[in-house]
Amino acid sequence: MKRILWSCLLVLLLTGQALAEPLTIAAGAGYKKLVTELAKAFETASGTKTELVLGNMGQVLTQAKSSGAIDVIVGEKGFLEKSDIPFSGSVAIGRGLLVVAWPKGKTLNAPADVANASVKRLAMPDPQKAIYGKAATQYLEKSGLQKAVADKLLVVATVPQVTTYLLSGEVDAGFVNRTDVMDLGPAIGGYLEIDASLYDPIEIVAEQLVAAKNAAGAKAFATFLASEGARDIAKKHGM
Amino acid sequence: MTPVSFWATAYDAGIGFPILLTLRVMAVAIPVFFLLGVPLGYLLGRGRGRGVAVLDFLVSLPLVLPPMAVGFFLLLLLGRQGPIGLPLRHFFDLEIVFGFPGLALAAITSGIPLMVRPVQAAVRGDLVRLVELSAVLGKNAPTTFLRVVLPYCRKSIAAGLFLATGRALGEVGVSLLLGGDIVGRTNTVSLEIYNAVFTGEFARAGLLSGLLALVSLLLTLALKRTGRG
Repeated sequence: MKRILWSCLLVLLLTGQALAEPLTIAAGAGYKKLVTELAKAFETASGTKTELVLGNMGQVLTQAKSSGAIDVIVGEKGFLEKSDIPFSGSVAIGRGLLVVAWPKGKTLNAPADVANASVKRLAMPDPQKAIYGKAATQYLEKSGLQKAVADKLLVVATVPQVTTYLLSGEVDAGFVNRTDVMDLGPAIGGYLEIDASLYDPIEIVAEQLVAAKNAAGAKAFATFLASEGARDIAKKHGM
Repeated sequence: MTPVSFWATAYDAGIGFPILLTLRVMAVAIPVFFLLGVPLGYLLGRGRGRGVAVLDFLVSLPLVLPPMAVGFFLLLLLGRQGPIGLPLRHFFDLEIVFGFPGLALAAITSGIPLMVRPVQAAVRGDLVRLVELSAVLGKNAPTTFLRVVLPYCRKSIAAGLFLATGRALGEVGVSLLLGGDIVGRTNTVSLEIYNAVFTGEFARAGLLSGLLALVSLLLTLALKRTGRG
């Protein structure tokens, strides 16, 4: 009997939380640390509870379209606006930066060193799936390195996959975003930023959905993102 | 999906490669399921002691851990710098990651627990008496295994093969990390479904999933037949 009562209480507590109408934020898994910290800071500042949905962008967009439960999506502006989801407004969070990183035990002195013979395997995310893959392709084209690296280029699906291969030493260098590798410290050999003029700007924004359930919360989140505190968090995460 | 886009997807040249690759992976994995899974199931079902318990635990791991985690651990073990990968590359010039061996290993790792379990359950019970009888009749161990154990466990072996093959066909996590999901090299049908969902190509994802569902249907029918026979 006691157990049943406790269970009922637990269910009531959980429903109570659900009724408080949290703000649901969806984001690409690559921005996990950034979005988690932004959401926490927003919770403290506004008292509105947040829920995060993290996954690959294709999955996130499909969930946003079919669930109707997502209020804000964080991602690359061009990619989000190409989708057929109606948005009611967007706020810039920062600029995504392409870097070339290498595993422990290797050294690169300049991004162009990826063409050297010591780099036998060069990984990059798929240009069709990941915005940083597209940026890496643009960089290789504009810097004239494309031919030199063509034979050793490993095109894998996502940025976190490239990071995994850098951590395990499976590749000699890889193109990733700065946010993904800057916290890795001694787990990788290091990274260098790519000249930002050699690829199209990557604008990371938070788009509010027209279908947002918690429109007031979404608006409050947008105002929060424009604040000094939010900008500092974005900067801390390499944007 | 309109019929036109469906057929356009079906005739897309990019689909042929994942199908052939998956068939090649299965051509390696299914015999291994049988050759490795049956003795392993027999050992785990009949053996005793700490070593057997440890082996039992290891075999269940791919079933319990998220496939991504299994893939990551295998990557650390078998990668270029890994404790197994390094000597393999050094002495045999064999690279497991980013190639066919990685995919085959991913399929075997994810399928083997499901092959072993039914066999493990089947070799307990009445079989003990039959094996003893066979020994009394003067048959040696290999003959007993071939003439007594295998026929006795026939249905469980078929069920295990079905489950393991199904699991290996749909595997994404381990093959993603060990194979790399490199288009034109290591993109199996299940990875291609993953890719298609990723980029919102639902027609392609649907077609390939339908194909896997068809294979599953054929496997089910085959299993029913062995069950009856």
